[in-house]
Amino acid sequence: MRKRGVEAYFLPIILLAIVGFFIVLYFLTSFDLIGYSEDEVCKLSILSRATSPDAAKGIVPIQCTTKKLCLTKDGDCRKNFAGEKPEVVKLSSDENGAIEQIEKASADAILDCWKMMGEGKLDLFGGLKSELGWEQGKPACVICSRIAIDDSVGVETLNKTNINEYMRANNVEGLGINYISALTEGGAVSYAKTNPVEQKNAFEKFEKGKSKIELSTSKEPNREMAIVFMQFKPASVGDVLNNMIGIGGTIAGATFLSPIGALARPIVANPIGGGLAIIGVGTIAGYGMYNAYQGQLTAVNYCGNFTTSGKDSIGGCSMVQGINYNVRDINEICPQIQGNP
Amino acid sequence: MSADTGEPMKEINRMNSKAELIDNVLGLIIAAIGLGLFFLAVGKFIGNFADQDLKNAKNILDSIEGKIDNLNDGEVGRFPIKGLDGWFFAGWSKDDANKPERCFLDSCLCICKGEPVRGGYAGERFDERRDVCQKEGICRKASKDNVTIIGVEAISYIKMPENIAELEINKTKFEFIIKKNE
Repeated sequence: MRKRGVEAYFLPIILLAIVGFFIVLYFLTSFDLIGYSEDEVCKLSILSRATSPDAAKGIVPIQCTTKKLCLTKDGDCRKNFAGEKPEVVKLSSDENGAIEQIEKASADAILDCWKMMGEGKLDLFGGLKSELGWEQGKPACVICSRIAIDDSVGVETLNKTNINEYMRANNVEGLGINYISALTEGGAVSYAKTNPVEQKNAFEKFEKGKSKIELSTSKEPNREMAIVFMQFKPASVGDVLNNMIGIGGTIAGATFLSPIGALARPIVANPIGGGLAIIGVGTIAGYGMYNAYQGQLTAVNYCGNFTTSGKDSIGGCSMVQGINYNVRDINEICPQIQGNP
Repeated sequence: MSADTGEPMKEINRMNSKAELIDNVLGLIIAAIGLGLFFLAVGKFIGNFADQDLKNAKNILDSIEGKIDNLNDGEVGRFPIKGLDGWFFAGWSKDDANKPERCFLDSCLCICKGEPVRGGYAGERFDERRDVCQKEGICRKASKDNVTIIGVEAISYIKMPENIAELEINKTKFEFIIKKNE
């Protein structure tokens, strides 16, 4: 009787275990990333990377594919995207409408990139030199988007765009708050004024032995920008923070990526969770169309402790910025680029 | 007294130990199944990412091919191309006898993973491009019979960087000349 009782007790458990095994097996074997959108795959890979221990970060690649956006009135985008599959945005024939479309596309790209990469608070590249090639103080980047403005859009139209003002004056679709607020988690709604005399390169010590960033200052029109997420771990985050905070109570974060010698960048600082999120604005004149457009692109920075899976929080800085899409400028800032082309 | 109670006690003990054994075996089976599923899940997850380099290589080659096609004969174009660490770009003309079998009888452009040059003991340098590309790489038929890749050294290839490379493509009537701008 007892023997029969034991069998009656264990048999359903064994059966359940076997059935459960096959159910889970079915789901596992049918799981792949094919049905997911590029954004979902990117987000999943970012979260996987951020929650992996340092040693395992190398086997979880960042699966973010660079979005290609072509803004055109009547062009075919082949000049910039031949052999690639860009999303083509037909601009309005009305100049004001076209300007607003350019501003919105650029603002959305910056916000999307910042949100997708965990608002700069996730440790995506590990702390040690590893398989990823990450070295202390050396930045690593992901190119979130490439935005090309076709020749069919006149230089005058481009010069009239004001992305910073668009980000201040317009709400993000579906959020009911403006772009600045969305970028700083509600910490700021507008740009603060700064003292131009105090301007200096706040991040100039971001890489040992590299005192400044030199971007191209060519007057040759360049109609393609890359929205780049960058993360680096300076030898001392405190130094960078002090450097940033110490500049007349405001921060000159945008100087970091602006052509050396450029002036006047109102910035707002917003301490979040012990770190520092910054909106930097560049208003650069005199470099021709390309730089005028680049100068209008807001830089979003975060410096502080990363949210990691480990016990010890590691300090570092992250930023998103629009950069001219050419070899010199991108490589000047990004010794290493991850993600899919 | 003890003789009367001894047999039933032994029977109870035997039953208990049998139940314990079944319990343990069952625990072991469930643990093994759980571990198996865990490793399967991890393997599946990593497997989804594993061939990403190959997909990226394919996209890069598509992009280069598209840019070449977009040029007219006699035009020169400079294009920033995202690099791929550990890979190199190479090409072979139609009449090159030393091209990989992947190219069949055509001229071709390839992106391959590995070291294109092997160093010898006496400082010699051996061209490994063909073997490396045959082993792991992607090749495409080129639309011109002659392909010239201008690399930094005698054995011509372009090492893909970790960031961005600028390729200068010169398309003539019968040839592509592709070089990496420094």
